[in-house]
Amino acid sequence: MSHRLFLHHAGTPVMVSYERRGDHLVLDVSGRRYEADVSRDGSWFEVRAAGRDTRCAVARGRRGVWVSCEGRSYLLEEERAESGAKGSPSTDELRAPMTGRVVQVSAQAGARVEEGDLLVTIEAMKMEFRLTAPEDGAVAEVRCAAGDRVELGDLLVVLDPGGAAS
Amino acid sequence: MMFRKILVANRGEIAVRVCRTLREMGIASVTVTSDADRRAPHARAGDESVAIGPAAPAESYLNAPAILDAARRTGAEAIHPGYGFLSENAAFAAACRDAGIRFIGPSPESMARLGDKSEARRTAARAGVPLVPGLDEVGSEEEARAEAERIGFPVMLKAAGGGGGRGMRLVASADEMAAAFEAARREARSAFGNDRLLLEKYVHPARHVEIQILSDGREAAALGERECSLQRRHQKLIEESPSVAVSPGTRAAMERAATSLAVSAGYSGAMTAEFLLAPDGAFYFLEVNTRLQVEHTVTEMRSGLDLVRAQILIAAGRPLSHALGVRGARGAALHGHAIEARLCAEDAYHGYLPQTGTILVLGWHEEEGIRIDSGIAEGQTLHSHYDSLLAKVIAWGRDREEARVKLVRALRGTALLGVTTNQPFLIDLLEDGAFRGGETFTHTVESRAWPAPDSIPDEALAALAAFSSTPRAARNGDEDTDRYSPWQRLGAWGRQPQRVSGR
Repeated sequence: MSHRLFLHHAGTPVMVSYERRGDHLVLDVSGRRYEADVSRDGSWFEVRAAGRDTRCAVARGRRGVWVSCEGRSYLLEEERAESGAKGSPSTDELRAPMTGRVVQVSAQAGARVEEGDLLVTIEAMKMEFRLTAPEDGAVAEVRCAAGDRVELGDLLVVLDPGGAAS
Repeated sequence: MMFRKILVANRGEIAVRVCRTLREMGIASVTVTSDADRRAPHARAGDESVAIGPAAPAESYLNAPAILDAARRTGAEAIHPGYGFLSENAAFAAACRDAGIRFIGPSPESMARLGDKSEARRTAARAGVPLVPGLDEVGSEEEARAEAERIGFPVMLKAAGGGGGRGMRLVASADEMAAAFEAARREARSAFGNDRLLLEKYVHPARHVEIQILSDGREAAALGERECSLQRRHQKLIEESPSVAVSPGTRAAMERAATSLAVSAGYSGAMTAEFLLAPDGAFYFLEVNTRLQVEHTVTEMRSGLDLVRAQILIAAGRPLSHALGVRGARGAALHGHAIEARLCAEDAYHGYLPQTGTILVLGWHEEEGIRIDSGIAEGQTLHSHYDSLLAKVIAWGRDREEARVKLVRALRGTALLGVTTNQPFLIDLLEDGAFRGGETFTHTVESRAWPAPDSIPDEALAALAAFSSTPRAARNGDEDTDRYSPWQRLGAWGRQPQRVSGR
C-alpha cells in the first residue's frame, strides 16, 4: 500500500489508503476495500465501480479540498503523508493529520527506516493514528515528543528519502 | 415607441436574465455594479456597465440618485428594477418619472395602493377579496397583543412595506409579543426604510398559492397559479405550477380575485397576488407583489411567455393582447408542470447559515426541459452583503412526476465547489415523501429535522485519491480552469451554452 490520505470531514477524521495503477484505484477506507476506475477531465472525475458511473468534481480551495458527487459536496481538510509519488515535495515531511496528542515517538534521528516503519503515534477523539514511513530512507529530524499537543499540519518528522543512516 | 436602451437596476441572476431578454429584443442594456460586484457575471451581461457605489446595498443597489445618474449618463430611456432592492419603492418609481425615465413596473400610485400591505388589504376588502383576520396597522406592542388575543394566537407580524420574508415574525403566545414586535420593527426599518407593521391570524396548515397577473392598466389577464409552500424563514425554496391542491373552481375564484385587484388599482405591468390556501379550500389574500417574482420562471415554462418581454412591451404602451402575443388577451394556454428550486449559499443542515467563499468549480446539468437562471461564475467570490440566492434550476415535464424527476437529475448533475450551498437539501426535499405526495405546507420544511448525511461516499474518496495522486503541475482544477459562462442555459428553449475562455 503506497498512498495515504488523512482527512477531516465536518470534524471527523477520515483515513484512506490507496494504490493506483493507471486509472485503476484500490482504496482502503477504514478497513473496507473499494475498487474503481477513475478517469479525469479537468476538475471532473468519472468514477466507475461495480458497473456504475458517478461523475465527481474536485478542486482545492483555501479551506481544503472540495469534492462533489451526485449533487452533494464535501469539504475535506487534507493532510498528505504518502509515498511513491516521485518528485512530490511533501514526501520528506511527516505532518500531523489532525489536532491531537502525541502518544509515542518511535522514530530516532539518524536512524534508517523502511517503508511502513512506525514513526509516530497520535491520539485524537479516542482514536489512535499510526504514522509510518512513506518510503525507505533516514530520519533527518524529530520535531515532537511523547505527550506533545500538536495541531493539524504541524511538522512531526523530517525524512531524508533514500538516505542512509548516519 | 420602443425603448432603445434600458438600465437594469439589480444584480445576480435576475440582472443577467433581464439582459438576455433585452438582447433578444434588440434593446441595448446597461447594468450597474457595486464595488464588490465588478467581476460578477451581471457586470458582463449587458452592453455597458456603470459602477454606482460601495458594496453595502444602501450605497449602491438602493442608491436611487446614483442609479438615476447612471441612466442619464448612459442615455437609458427606462429602468428595469428586477425584484428586491428598488423594485417596490414608490418613491423611486416617482423619481424615475420626474427624471423622464420610464420605470418598468406600475405607476407609483398603483404601487402604493397594492404594494403597501396595509393599503393592499383595504383595496382587497373593497374588491371583495377574502382577508385573513387581523389588523392593517399595529402602532404598538400593546395594540398587537390585544388584537392577537381577540383573534387568537398564533399570529404573524409583518412589515407593512416589505416582502421576501424580512420583517416577519410568528408569535405563538402573548409573552413572545414584546421581543417579536421589536425584532420585526427593526428588520422592517433596515430592510425597507419603513417600520410600520401589520398583524394577521396564522392559518395552519396552509399552502402558499399565488396568481400571476399581466395587466396594461385597463384589462388584466391571469396566468394560473404557483404553489410556493416550501419555505424556510418565510423565504421560498421550491415553487411549482400547477398546485396539486388547487381545484379548477378555486383557481377560477383566485384568478378573479387577483384580476379585480389589478383592475381596481389601474395596475400596469406584471403583478402577483399571494394567497394562503386553507385545508378546507378557503383562501385568504396575503399580499400583492408589484414586480416580477423570483419564481416567474415557473409560469414562463408552462406558458411559453417571456414575462420580462411582456413587462417591457406594457411599459412601452403596448396593449395587453400584444404583450401576451398571439394567444389573445384572455390569458395564455398553460401546459404541463414546472418546478423551480432555488440554489442558495447557505448551510441548510445547520440553521440555514449563509455561506461565503470563492466558487472554484461550477458545472450545470443540461437537458431538454431544464432551465438554469444563474448569476454566478467560477472564480467569483460571494460576499455577505447580498442575498444568498445564487441560481434557479427549473424543470418542465408533461406531469408533476416527470418534472420532479428531471429537477432531481439536474440538481444531482450540478457541481458547485468552494461554497456550501443548499443543493443537497433541495434534493432531499424533492425526494421526500411529503413532496412526492403533494403534502406541501408552509410549515413542512421547518417542522421537521433534516439530518445532514454523515458519511462520504466511496466514489467521492476515489475521485479525491485520483486528484491527490496527480502531480500538482498537471492539475488544472486549482487555479486555471476554463471559465464557463453558465448562466442562461435554457435547454428547453434550445439555447447552446456559451463558453468563455480566460477570466
